Amino acid sequence: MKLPQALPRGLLLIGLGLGPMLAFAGVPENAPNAGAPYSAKGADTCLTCHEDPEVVDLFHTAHAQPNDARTPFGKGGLQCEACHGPGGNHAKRVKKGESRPSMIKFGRTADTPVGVQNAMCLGCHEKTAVANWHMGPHDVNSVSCAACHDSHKAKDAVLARATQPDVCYTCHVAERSQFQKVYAHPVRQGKLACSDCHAPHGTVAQKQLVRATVNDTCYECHAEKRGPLLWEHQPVTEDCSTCHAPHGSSNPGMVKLRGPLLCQSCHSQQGHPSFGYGPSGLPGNAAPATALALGNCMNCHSQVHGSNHPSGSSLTR
Amino acid sequence: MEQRSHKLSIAVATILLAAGSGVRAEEAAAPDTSAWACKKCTFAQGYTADAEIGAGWLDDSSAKFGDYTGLDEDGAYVVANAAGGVVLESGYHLDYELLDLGLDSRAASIEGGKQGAYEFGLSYDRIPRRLSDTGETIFSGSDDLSLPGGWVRAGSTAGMTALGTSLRPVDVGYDRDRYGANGRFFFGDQWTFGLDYKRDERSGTRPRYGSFGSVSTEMLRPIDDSTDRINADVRYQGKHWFAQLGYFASIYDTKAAGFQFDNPYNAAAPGGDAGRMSLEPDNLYNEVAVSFGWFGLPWNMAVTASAAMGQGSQETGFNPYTINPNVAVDALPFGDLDGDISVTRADLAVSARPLDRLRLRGSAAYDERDNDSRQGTFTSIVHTDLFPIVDDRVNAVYGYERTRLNGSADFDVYDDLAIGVGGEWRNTDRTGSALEVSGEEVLDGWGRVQFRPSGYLGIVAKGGVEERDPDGYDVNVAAGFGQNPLMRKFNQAYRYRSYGELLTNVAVGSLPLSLGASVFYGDDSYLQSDLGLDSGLDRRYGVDLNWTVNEKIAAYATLGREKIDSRTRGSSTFTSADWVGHVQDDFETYGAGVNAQFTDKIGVNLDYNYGSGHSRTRITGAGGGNFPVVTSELSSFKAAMTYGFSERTDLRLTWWYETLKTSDWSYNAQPAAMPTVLGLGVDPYNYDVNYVTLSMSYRFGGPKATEAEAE
Repeated sequence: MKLPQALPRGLLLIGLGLGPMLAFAGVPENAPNAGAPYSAKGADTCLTCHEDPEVVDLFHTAHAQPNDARTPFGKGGLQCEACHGPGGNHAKRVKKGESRPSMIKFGRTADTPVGVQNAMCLGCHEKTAVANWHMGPHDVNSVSCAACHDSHKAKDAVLARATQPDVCYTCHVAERSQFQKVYAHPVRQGKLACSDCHAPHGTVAQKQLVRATVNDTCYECHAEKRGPLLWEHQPVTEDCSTCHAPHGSSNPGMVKLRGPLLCQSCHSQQGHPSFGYGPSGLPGNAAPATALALGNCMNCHSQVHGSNHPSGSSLTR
Repeated sequence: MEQRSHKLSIAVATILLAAGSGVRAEEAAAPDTSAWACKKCTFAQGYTADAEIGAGWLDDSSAKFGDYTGLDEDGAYVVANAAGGVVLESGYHLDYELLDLGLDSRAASIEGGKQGAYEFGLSYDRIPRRLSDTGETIFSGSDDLSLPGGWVRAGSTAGMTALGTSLRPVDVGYDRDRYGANGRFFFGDQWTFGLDYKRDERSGTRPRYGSFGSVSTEMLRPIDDSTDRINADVRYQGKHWFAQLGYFASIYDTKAAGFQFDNPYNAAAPGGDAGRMSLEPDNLYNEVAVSFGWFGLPWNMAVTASAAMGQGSQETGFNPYTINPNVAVDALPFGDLDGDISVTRADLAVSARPLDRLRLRGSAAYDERDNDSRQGTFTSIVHTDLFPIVDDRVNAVYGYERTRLNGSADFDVYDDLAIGVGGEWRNTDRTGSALEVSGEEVLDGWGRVQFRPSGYLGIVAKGGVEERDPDGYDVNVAAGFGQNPLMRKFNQAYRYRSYGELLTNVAVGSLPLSLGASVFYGDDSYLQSDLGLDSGLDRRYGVDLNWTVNEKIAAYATLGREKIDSRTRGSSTFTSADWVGHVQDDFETYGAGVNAQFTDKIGVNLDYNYGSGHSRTRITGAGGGNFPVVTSELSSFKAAMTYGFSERTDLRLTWWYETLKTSDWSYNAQPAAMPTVLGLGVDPYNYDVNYVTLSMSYRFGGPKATEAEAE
């Protein structure tokens, strides 16, 4: 039998389009209330019991905007059940001795599987800011959205620059220490948040950076380093983190290793670049070495990020 | 053949439909929400505002304490904060926040819009950089630094007899003022248009060394620049997919692309009395990007892809080879670089769950920087405005093509136990000129075990190895730079890395108490480097404990430690390694705090953080020895007490005590401590400050506190 030309392609398109659509709606199969009916009155049913301040603070958040049809409380929205799943059984009178049917719960210690929690969030947010959630380490490590976000709070701590780091530090404990070093970006002072550099919802970029590369992320604040320059310092063009420790360092300039050893990890030219500078070269001794104290190698080669001066080939001008 | 293709299409379509409808069958029908009146929903309406006004007192001046905080001068400060907003039933809303208006770290923001239609925001943020307040300089001027009258030049700092009378104290630092404006417009459920504009303005100074031959001077270079950044995007969002077109621009503009400075030393060549330094020139970058995403595909597959093309330019006119009138120079090969950078990027990411217990992830990324800037032969280079060098130099251009493939698989062996393996292949091909290593390949492989029996316990252990294998080392290029042929630059050298990580989260629900702990170990070996960085060892661990004692009291405690060891080999004799530099960096922190609402009227917040660092440098070999230990010790204690004076009025008393003690052989308070470097004489950071504030806050609008609590 010869099939009409358009039919198979049409069916394929329908399959590609409709199949996913059908598969996507509703709550995950392993949700505690999968397949349950929705409540009779929506949020009015829920709020009959759940009237605590920490619950109703939700109405001061982005999730509860009655004029925005995209939010759970917009026109036609499933209100509380948009996130917690159908509550028809949960809201029913429970016989003595029976436990109340469970809903989808959120948070680090919630008994709802992390995958189910996150599926509810991704149902709306996957197409927006968290498109690469599944590529990020937070998904890999089964971190729930609610481990960081408190969507019922009018002021979600992780969304404010000053309070966000404390949320991140609960897991990224080493970073709390690093930002207390003498030379560090101003996270401790509340002027920079983790999300100014990192995209916590996943990205294809390395280290979950907000821009495609390390350098492009740094240029967000340090655009003067973008260049190009006449005399470029090759590693500078590739990766700022070759020399810098962005979470903080005990060395001036947040460099990973104090000069001149940092420079001598690459430069070995005969003469002063190759000398082993011991403590006898410090000020106060008979012959202080120019390349040791103060700016060390940068006492002369101060244009370490590159130079645009015609005589700057040695990065001195 | 065609028939077979048709049948294949039908089969695929059938599978997709079946896959979709199979899941669908498990779900409840969408409810009729027309009767969901939401009468009990207490949507935000009306206005609220909190205003705080008061005074603060700082008992001592410190640039380091004031760095980023704006609290650098002792004396009185105004405490002024406000926040509030208004929401109308129609969906219009406006929120604002004013922070630290009395400090140089002040910030302000306004956000508003109409729910579901558009949003906009305006923001301002000042970031004060206070780099030092203990330095002294002999120079006056900003972009033309002049010596004082009566200055006595000498061959070394010891002979500068007018130094003592010529030094004047200087504060070093700059302010960064950041302005922002953004808008997002929603056209139906599908279309979104976004625009984000940011402008940074910086003005002030920071240290910069300038040399004449083998002597150098630390000066204050001017900073007077701005950066404008524009992000614009238009996005279409279907039910299971999106497409976005974006534009990004960055415009860096400086009024200080260079500065001139007098030579405080005896000129080592006629006319070498002054020099000129170039600073960062203007630059411009534009980028267009498209991105797509498809979700809910069969096997729970999600696919995202993006591509971007960018163009950067830099066309600032060159300075002359030298300002030394006694040096005859050739004409420059061209008057500006005509800097031209082309950037091309693309990536594709796919994740899928073909089986309930199996998650697959894969991504590919390509990133190219193509440097098409002009190249020329510079025939009259005068390094430090003294003598022309004998050889000609051609400016190198650097670019690269980087490709990265990443894949991983995670399998849930049991509901509470998952194992995963993954790997990454990275390839870098360096393009351009003067390349010692033209490319490298990195292979990274890791395994992971996750044990998560419940939300109350989670353990993740991960370990892996990575090998970076560079292309051959071009000895001729290295020799052109005068490098010892045994040197391998550490960012291009062969490297074998092994690493392991353990993350634990424990929660004790009945208290409730939660504990997060992490341990990291990373070991880098540069096995083929006879000279250069030889090894690096990084160990970190930390614990974070949070305890919600009851509804009114919460406490936390943290500790962390990091140890980084490195070893660098060098050769003073330009042969094989004859000295080794060992560095051991050790840093540890402790912290604890409590937040308590003791009564309805009294709330207390206490925080203490301590950080201590020790950096030990040792050189073995000729002229070696132990350097003095570089130390830092930070103690920071913050206390705040709030007293509910009335239903709407709070009285707030805060005390911030912080002390930082550092010792660092890099710094020396004496400008002339080194014969060949005239420094600013900046002290190592040391401060001991108390900052006390007393303020009153009043809440306008909204429910009274007691009403809110009653509800």
